[in-house]
Amino acid sequence: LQQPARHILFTDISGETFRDQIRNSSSDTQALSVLHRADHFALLIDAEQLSNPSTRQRAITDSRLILRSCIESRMIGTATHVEIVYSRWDCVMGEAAERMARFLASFEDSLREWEAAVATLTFHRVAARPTSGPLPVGYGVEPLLRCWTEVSERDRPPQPHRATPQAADREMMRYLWREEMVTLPLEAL
Amino acid sequence: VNLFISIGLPNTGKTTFLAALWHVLESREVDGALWQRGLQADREYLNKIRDAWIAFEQVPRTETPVGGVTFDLADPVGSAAGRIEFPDLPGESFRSQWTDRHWSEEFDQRVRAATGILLFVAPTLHDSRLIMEADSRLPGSTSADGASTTPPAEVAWKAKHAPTQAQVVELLQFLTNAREPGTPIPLALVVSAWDQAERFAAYDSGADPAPVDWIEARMPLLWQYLRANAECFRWRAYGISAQGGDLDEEDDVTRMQEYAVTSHRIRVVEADGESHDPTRPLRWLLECAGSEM
Repeated sequence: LQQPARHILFTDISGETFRDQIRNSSSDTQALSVLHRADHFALLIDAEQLSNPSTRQRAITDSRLILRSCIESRMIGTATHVEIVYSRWDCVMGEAAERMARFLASFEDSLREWEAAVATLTFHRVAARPTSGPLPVGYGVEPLLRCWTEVSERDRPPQPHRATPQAADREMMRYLWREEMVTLPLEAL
Repeated sequence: VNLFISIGLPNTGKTTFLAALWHVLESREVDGALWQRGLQADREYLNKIRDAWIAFEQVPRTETPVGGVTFDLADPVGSAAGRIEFPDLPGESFRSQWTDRHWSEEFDQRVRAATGILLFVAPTLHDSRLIMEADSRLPGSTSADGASTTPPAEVAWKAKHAPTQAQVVELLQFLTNAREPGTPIPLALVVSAWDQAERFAAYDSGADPAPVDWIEARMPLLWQYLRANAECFRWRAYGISAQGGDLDEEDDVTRMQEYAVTSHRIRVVEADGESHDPTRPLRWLLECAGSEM
């Protein structure tokens, strides 16, 4: 309440779209143009699936492939904050969480290769409406919401585009580069 | 572009291998393995077969997209290793080459252009009866324990009943007839379901064989053919368990589900060691394709 009101636009895209289209096709990924404008890309993974030995490997593999497809199709990039959200975390409390720890460590390590391709890559454990266990209602939601409302690359001043002229470029093609040379401070050149 | 064709009779594990290969190429889970540099535009088929593989289910029979699948490979440090096309044809098409002595125009072009071959044989399909054992199967003969054998019901012979080795060798002869003579083509011979091959071998001799020794002992005609035709084939044997175990065995499945790294269920055995890397045969084929033969 100490901050000015912020508007947040959430998309609610079906899981089938990600499973059947984004995962399988680069052109379908590029057709989902809203991704391009997203400040935040939250990839939800059902923790209950992670806790089940027969489904966990697919849950991890599909999530990784969806993220890779979005990055390689240039639909998300260095202006997008990526949050990996383990939902229904109440399903894996206690012993199950300990057993799952090494799977998650391996999974999170495998995502690090794309860390430089996005603005930030963070991991969150959430239980919005726990059905059992000690977690309170809305566990992990507040930090996630704070992240969504307070961090945006687009709130920062735009970075100058540094086009490097190619030897074969015509003079007209070098226009942008010459403009930058003029506007950039000397030490940046 | 290197064109590798995979050859094998039905149920020899070609598609299961492809599913495991796709997982390793895409996930980069295996240290030192080749990897896929950029995702293919259309990944539906590859993901479909991987979905089954990763869920510990039998990989569905092949409904390959036209033109097969293409991989743009990089070596572990990220340098381009090669681009390969991999037509995943159903085993029935190879069986019909033997029974009908016919292949398609498209396959003919692929054979002529191929820079490497992956030949799959499966220990579970292999009929290992030897000539010396034939007597005991004749009506009225006695088995080793002295009991009379019951004559088997008479079955009309069909070409598909021919011994596995004879069919496989004939498929290779078809290839050599179609290709320009003089340049041997590299051939990675994959004994699939290697875990089962080892079980059979252990039952026979109590030892874990190298894949090439298994070929020599269990498929001697194929082994002799390849050795006698060095001017046609430069070959290397691999034992690959793409599933990593027997899906009908609960213990095997439970063991595989516990791997933190999915690819670690894959076993690739060569004469000089073992790994989880199904790109090893591809790497060797690429090396051969890039070297003077």
